[in-house]
Amino acid sequence: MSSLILQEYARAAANFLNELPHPLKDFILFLHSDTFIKAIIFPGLLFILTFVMFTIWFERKLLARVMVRLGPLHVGKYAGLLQLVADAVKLLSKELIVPEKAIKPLYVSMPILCGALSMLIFAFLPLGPGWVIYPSDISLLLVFVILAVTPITILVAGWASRSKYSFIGMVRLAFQVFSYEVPFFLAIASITLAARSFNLEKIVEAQAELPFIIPALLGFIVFLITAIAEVERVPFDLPTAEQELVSGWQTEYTGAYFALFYLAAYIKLDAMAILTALLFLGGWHGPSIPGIPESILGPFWLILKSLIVIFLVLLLRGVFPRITLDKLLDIGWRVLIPLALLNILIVAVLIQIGLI
Amino acid sequence: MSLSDVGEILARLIEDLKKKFGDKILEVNVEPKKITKVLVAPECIKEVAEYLKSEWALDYIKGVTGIDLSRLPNMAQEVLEVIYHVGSLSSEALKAVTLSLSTKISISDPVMPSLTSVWKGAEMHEREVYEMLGVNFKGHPDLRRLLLPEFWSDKPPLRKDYVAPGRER
Amino acid sequence: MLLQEGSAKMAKEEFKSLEVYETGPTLTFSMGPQHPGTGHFRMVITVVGDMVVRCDPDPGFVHRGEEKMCEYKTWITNIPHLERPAILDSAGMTYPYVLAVEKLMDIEPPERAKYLRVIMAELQRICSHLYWLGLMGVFAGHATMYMWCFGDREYLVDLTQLIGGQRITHSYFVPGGVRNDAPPKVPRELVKDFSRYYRMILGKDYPGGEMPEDFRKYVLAVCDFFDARLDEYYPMLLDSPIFIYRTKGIGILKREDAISLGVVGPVLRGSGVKSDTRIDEPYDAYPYIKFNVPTMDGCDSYSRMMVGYYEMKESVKIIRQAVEQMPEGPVKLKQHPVTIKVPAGEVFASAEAARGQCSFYIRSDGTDKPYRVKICSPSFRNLIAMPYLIRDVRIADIPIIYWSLNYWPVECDR
Repeated sequence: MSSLILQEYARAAANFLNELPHPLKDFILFLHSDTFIKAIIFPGLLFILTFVMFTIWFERKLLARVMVRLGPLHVGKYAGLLQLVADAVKLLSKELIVPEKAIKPLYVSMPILCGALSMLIFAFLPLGPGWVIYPSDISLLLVFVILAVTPITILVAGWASRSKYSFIGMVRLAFQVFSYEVPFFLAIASITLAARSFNLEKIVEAQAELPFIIPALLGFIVFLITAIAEVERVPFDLPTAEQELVSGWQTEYTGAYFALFYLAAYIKLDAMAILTALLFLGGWHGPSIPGIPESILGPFWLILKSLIVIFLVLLLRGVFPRITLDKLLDIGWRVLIPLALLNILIVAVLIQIGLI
Repeated sequence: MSLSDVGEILARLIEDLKKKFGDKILEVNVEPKKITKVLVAPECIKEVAEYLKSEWALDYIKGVTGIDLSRLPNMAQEVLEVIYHVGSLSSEALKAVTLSLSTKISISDPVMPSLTSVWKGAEMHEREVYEMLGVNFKGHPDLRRLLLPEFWSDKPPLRKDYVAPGRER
Repeated sequence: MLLQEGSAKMAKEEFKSLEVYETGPTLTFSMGPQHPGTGHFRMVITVVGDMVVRCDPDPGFVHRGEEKMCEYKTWITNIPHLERPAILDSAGMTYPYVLAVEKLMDIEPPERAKYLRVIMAELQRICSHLYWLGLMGVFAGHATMYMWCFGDREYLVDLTQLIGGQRITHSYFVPGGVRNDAPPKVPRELVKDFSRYYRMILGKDYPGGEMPEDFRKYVLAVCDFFDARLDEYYPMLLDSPIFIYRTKGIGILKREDAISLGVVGPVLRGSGVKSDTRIDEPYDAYPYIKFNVPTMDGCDSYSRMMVGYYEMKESVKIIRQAVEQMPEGPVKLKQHPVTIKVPAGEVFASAEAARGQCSFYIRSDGTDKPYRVKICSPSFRNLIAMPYLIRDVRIADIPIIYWSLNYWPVECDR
């Protein structure tokens, strides 16, 4: 009886849908599509936010362990898991201050743009076989383009703040990011050579037998160092160095604006970690566990690998002081670029011999 | 270094100063363990300081004190006293010595030569004495306020006729 | 060349000679007083590109007129407020005052008080140096060192509380002795807490099983623990290649300049001058104790920090000896009423505070209040080094040089 009623309802709903004007109907159908669900739930928004929340909690706990502290304790049932939610509520409820001299339209729009752009990276990152929001043959290039564009929003934000500390931080960021993008891309180039594709899914497929970290070890080292510099983590956190520049380019940002930048920084960190796992650590390939379907096991291995990368990057913050700008550029141009070129040469030779 | 050695050295130093400068040394106050003070006129303080630095290797400035002596008992006229406490680091034997070279200037016209050309380190000390007691150091390279706020317009606060607010008693 | 003129004028002239910088426009900004890198203190910094061409220190934001206040308060009530300028090192600030008053009154404290004073002064020196080292870590972008130093400092502060009754501002020294004796036994909770921490940090039990409750043995246990911890600090920060790169050769203060500028303490000893008031003009129990005065010849920020590090080791040595040699007996001559009269006269007394030689000039007119108290605090004497050092360096070096001077704004402003 009840199933009959349900069927009635379903038919009525379908009729209603058919009578709707076309754009609206398409939109409602899109809401039910695979892409939308992916964008909202798994490789998309909800997953990103959970992953970022976990990363921040993990960082706080890990650093607390290194520093003989306790870290967050009280919010959330277990070990301050929900501390970040409390922080977010605090930040969002703060007054939004725009400095008098700031260029208001730019100042206000840049945090939003920065947050949106860094989330966009995840549209092209496959988290498992088929688990990608926007499948593309040039997904690696797209990811790289977005990674290259995000710092520009920060540059504009620093400029629009019209503060001296923001200005100096911005200039530092420009030096850092634009000089580290060269070795970054050179390291990626060797991978595309080896996989003969710009498609991230194909790159992972190519690592089924051998993760690229083994032939392209130099590239992995260069990639990891440049990735840390790109996401401004210790020891490369010069643009926001607290003791020198108050908070660098973030100095004038408060409340929700600051929250967006903070979020964007961690999203970028997570994206970098996943990218490292995809490019060098064999992506979702891992030993199969009986009873668990491949479609779940893939993302599991990938996230595990990226967590190991995140652990390494976070641990650096506990043990290294910050380096200076001159040293940073010195390493970038004199060490990392030659290393990356050497790496390309090694990979090319290996391909010629037929090892990869 | 025992105390008697220090006393001996200081006694020799003061004898030498008296021989060299004669009447220019107005007063000598030697109290073992407490202080060894040489009072000279403001005109010749620079001369004495240069002599002390070059001949006795007193090259290390420990502090510059300014005092308003006007409320001391038995004080005939109102004067400020500026004391340079100097020691030595280049000479091993003089390490424990602190000599106080002082001068008295009148409170109505507090001008004296700056000793920054003799002891570089006196720069900040003299700036402090300048703002706290209103002593004008001639020849100081950068005589500005140091600790007091820019809007301070009252008397120099360490003069005795300045009464701190809330402490009128 | 370096020391021809006063700081401001010199910077201006120097600026002209640096033709390489004239190509770029200058940017002047003030670092502080609301800046995480300076504290209550302002530096007006002029930069060309990333290079600093001028630094004009501007103290005075926490000036509270200690010297004027001394003229309104009695000889005894001066002690509590005199330790406020340097609360981390309150013993160092009151020590010369008390010595000066004792010299004026011509009294000498009992033997046990002398040793207690030495223990207290050295404890505070370690606490202050730990703060220095920890914040050096922060200023270099290394937050772990800060947390480690402050975690360990806690047990030294507890020891201070045990002896003096207060954690930081204890007003322990009085003319003619110390305020109270050290307790014979340590409270059980403190011992328990400390042995737990000992196990957690060093990963082993205290040798010989139970942590002792006897005061002397407990102090020795804390010394042992702290010695072990100091050995762990070295590889964590001071031997880290990035830290060495950031501090070696940065902020060079040559030996002659250090002497003629009149800097004190670790800054002076980091420039290779062996000068320590505890050795040169020994007071209280220091003549009976064997210790070294560490000096470094590097003259740079790294040398200054390392001098601070080695001084902590020496202080531990001093505390060990003082605790072992400390005789029994009274700890003060007599209980002073709030108002005592001090004979007229003048005195100049020095003691080695944590940041360097701290001197007091005191003039008494024979009443119950001082006529004039002049504090020559170590930070004030180190202030002059700042415009000389923060020049021709990068912006990133400013916090390193600034903090390698161990400058404490409150102590400077008084």
